[in-house]
Amino acid sequence: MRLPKFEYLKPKNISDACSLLKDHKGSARVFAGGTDFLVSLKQRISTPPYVIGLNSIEGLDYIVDNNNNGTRLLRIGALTTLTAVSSSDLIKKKFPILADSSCNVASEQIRNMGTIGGNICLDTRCWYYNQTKLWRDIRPPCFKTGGSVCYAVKSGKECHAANSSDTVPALIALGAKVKIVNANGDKMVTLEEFYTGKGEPVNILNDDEVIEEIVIPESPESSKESFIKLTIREGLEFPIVNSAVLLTMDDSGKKCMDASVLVGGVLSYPFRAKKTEETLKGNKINENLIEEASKIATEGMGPIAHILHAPGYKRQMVQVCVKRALRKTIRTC
Amino acid sequence: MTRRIVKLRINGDDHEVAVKSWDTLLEVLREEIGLTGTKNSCGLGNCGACTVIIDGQAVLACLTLTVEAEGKEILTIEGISDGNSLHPIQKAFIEHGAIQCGHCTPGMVMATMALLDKTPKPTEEEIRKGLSGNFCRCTGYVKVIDAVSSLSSEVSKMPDSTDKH
Repeated sequence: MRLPKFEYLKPKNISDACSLLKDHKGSARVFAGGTDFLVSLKQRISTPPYVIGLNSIEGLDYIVDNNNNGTRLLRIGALTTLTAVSSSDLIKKKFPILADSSCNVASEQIRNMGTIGGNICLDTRCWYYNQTKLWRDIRPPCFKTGGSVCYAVKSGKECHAANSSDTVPALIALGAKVKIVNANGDKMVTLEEFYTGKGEPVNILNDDEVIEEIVIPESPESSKESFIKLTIREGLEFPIVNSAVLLTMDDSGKKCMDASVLVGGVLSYPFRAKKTEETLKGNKINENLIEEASKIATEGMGPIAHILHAPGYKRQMVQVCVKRALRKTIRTC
Repeated sequence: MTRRIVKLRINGDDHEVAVKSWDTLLEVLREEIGLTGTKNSCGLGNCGACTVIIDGQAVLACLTLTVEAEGKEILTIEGISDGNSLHPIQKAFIEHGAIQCGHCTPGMVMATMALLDKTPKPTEEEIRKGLSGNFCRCTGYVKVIDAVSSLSSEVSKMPDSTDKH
């Protein structure tokens, strides 16, 4: 499968990349590892006349432990590969769900090429959208491809393509923030606010913006965390459902003081299971509580799209994954 | 259409090719340089048949732009042995019956080389995980895993690309 024609631009640094994006007013797209972007070009989902290769920018792949006025922060450069993130001793020790989730993305080869910034900006996915143009042309275009129909939710009024990143639920559970850079400056937003909630556009980045860095606060010593990914095969798969859990425990280590329960792969954005979190807070974590808390994990979820798996199945699997993730946290004590 | 001259270092040799921005490394290896050992299969990153090793890491040539491969050490299946005898990984694959049609094999061998470089004596689970990016429609993988398991830790060293063969 051949790529469409484009002009390749090589920025010297990130502000150069932002200027190029601004100058080309929407007809330029950036990419780093290219493991999703180049595929979308081959499928003619997107055919930008200009393509900006971010991998040439030096100094944006780093994993640094910073002490910022008494708070310890982990700073990860957006161009850090998923292999580097998953094999970092610091991340494995202090942020295990980030190491766990990034080590489960796709395959070794794709993790060697793909970056954490790319996984955060990963396009939403759908059985109709992620096909070649030849295939998609058999039906009128969907919302995500410029049309006015959704093939994943019956009578859907907007795009319901699924957020399929593995690292994102873990990063949100950890309280991550991202630094967005444009030609005029930069700003920090929480990763949870980064997503629009819709299948298209996926995130709040404007045409001339790029992510530069991910910042994660250190989790309390007492915290327990786990990540579960449900897939058809054991490798090279997007999640059917994934779930990341971070529990802040009291001094005894048995009672949960705060909980973050995130579910990905189902809606267009990583879903926070608020009812589950409320049920866990202030209580001793045991099998009964886990059972009770995971049953209500899907409360608050809007319509689930039919993307490769039936919505009813996905709804059940959300409960199963949250239950497994919660059980896994108490097994690590 | 404008081509630009790109210098590629492949298997220790320097090549100069005139490529278009949108030429993938897989296309250039096979069609411009004539190294057809690396296979063209899905073109989407789903099968691993185009696996090559760049700067010591296994990557997919079908999703690598040639213009971005300049200045890096590229190792393909043609470069892993000295040209006179097979690399131990290749020998193990043959001895264990891990090759049927052979289309996935170059990718499997390169992925194995990268795996052994990281984990010299991998467990079965580590082998399965390390090769999970490589598909085979023929063998059912059992003999591939047997072949990799049989390799001793000395074979993990990648060929020194400055050696000329």
